[in-house]
Amino acid sequence: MNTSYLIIVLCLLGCLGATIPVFMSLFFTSILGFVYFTDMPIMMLAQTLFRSMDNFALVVVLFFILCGNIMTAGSIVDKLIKVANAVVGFFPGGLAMAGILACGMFGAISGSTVATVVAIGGFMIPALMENQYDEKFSVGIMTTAPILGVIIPPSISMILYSMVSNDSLAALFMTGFVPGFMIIVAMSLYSYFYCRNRNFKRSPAPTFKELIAVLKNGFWALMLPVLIFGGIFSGVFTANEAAVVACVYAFVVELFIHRDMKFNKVKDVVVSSAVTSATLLIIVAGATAFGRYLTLEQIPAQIADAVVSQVHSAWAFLLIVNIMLLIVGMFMDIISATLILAPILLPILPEYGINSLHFGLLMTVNLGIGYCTPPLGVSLYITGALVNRGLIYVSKAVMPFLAIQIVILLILTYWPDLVLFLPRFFYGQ
Amino acid sequence: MIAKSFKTIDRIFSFFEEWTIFIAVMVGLISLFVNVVLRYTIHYSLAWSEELIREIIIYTTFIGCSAAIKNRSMIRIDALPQIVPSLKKALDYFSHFCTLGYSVLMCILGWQMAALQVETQQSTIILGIPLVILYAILPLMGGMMFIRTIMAMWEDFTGQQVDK
Repeated sequence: MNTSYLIIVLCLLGCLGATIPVFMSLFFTSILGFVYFTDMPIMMLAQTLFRSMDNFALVVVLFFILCGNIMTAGSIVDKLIKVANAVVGFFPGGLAMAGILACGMFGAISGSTVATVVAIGGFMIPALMENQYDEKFSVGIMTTAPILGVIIPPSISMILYSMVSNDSLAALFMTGFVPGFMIIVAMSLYSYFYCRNRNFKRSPAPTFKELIAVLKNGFWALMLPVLIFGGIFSGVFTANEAAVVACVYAFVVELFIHRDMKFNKVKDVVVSSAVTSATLLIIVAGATAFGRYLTLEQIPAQIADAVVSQVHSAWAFLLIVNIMLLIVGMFMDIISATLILAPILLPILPEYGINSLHFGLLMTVNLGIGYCTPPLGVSLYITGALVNRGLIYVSKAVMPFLAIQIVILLILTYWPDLVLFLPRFFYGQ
Repeated sequence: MIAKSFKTIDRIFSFFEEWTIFIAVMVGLISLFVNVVLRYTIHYSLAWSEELIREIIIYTTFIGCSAAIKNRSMIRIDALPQIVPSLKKALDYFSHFCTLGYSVLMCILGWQMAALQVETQQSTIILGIPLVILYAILPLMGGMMFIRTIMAMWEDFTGQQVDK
């Protein structure tokens, strides 16, 4: 490898390691690359930074974040958990299953893992412990189940991946359903067998009347995913329009139907969503500037050549990438990792005949798992703080669930049809 | 004295950031929603709404960054200070200084680019907004980030909060 590339890699890792914000690390590294290794003016980089934001597709990030925040500020979480509990709560381990299912339903509204941990975990962990579930099990399950937030569409990391890979966002969203369903079923089965012989409290099976009442209460909340997916997948809305319509719907439901959000909170919710989206989008800007440098030097193509000459089969490549992503996920958040690594990895895929939708889903699941891998998974710290426990305790608690998710990841890796049959069926991709 | 003036600056900045971002996002949301409704009812679409929303994204992203410095919600990788807690303070200051450097760079480069737009008199295609106004967001962001970072450093140094 060329020395100049080594300097670039060291500069990037050094900046990232020294806690400089991710987008600045990317920007500084591109400046270094531009100044020393090319003869382009750095004004072009500032231009890139600006131009990369001039993109209509980014709207979807802002409005899906806003939609999730409106629903969290209202009473949707409470209603979703009630629905989930009415549906599965009477099984052994039912409350834990309800927690998992609620994460899945919340994931269909929100596109982020952290939001799901805070919203559902913060509510479910105390509830589980009140019903005599043991603490380790409760913490473990509610730290790991929120991965559904990022797998079940809408998903912020999928949106950004599709921008890099130029895949259809609707098709990429489609790949998330089967893996999401698999994780819900596998984790629920584990809870069932774990709790079957233990003496945890079980709620009685709801009568038909009670079930209808709960569903009626949660109706408006449950209709939101129907609106989003129905709209996108039937072709009525583009993803951008779906995000906009979902926001308006969420505002109307929370302000006028549930009336659980006050008008004076609207500004706070909008501003905090815009700031969250700014912190993500500015990384897009940094990554675009860095991508400029990479393409000028044709680095992705060189990496692709090097990899292809060393690794001879698709399965070995996927295994290596999976291990690499798991390690990266331990240290880096899903958005930064997707934006930095996808442009480098994507040119390699055709060499092995790997579908880029399949790969996008793998990246999402894999980096999503990174949220709960020790030592630096963000979710571990959030749930740890909720129950006042240290990192080691939470890390031990998540182990069985991490194992389940990694097994599912491997199944998804080596059985692409499982992931791709839905988008193929609907979009013929 | 310093505390008091920082508090005033913080108030002005927060007021400016919050209200402009709020208005921009709501205008964007409403215009896009109206656009969807119009398309399905009278098969008409607003040509300017897409351009407007792109400008709103530029504005909210760059100005939102200034607010993110105040909330300290910039995305960074804090692996090292968690593994070696004694480094935390030094790294915090280092990162602040880098942010200052970045802000200065944004001011200079942004200014140059805005000046270029004045010379060439360019404006956006549909709404006809002079590009200089849009590019002026960069030096504005740089300036606000610079002052916000100074305030964050002061907070770290004295252990006080600017808005308390």
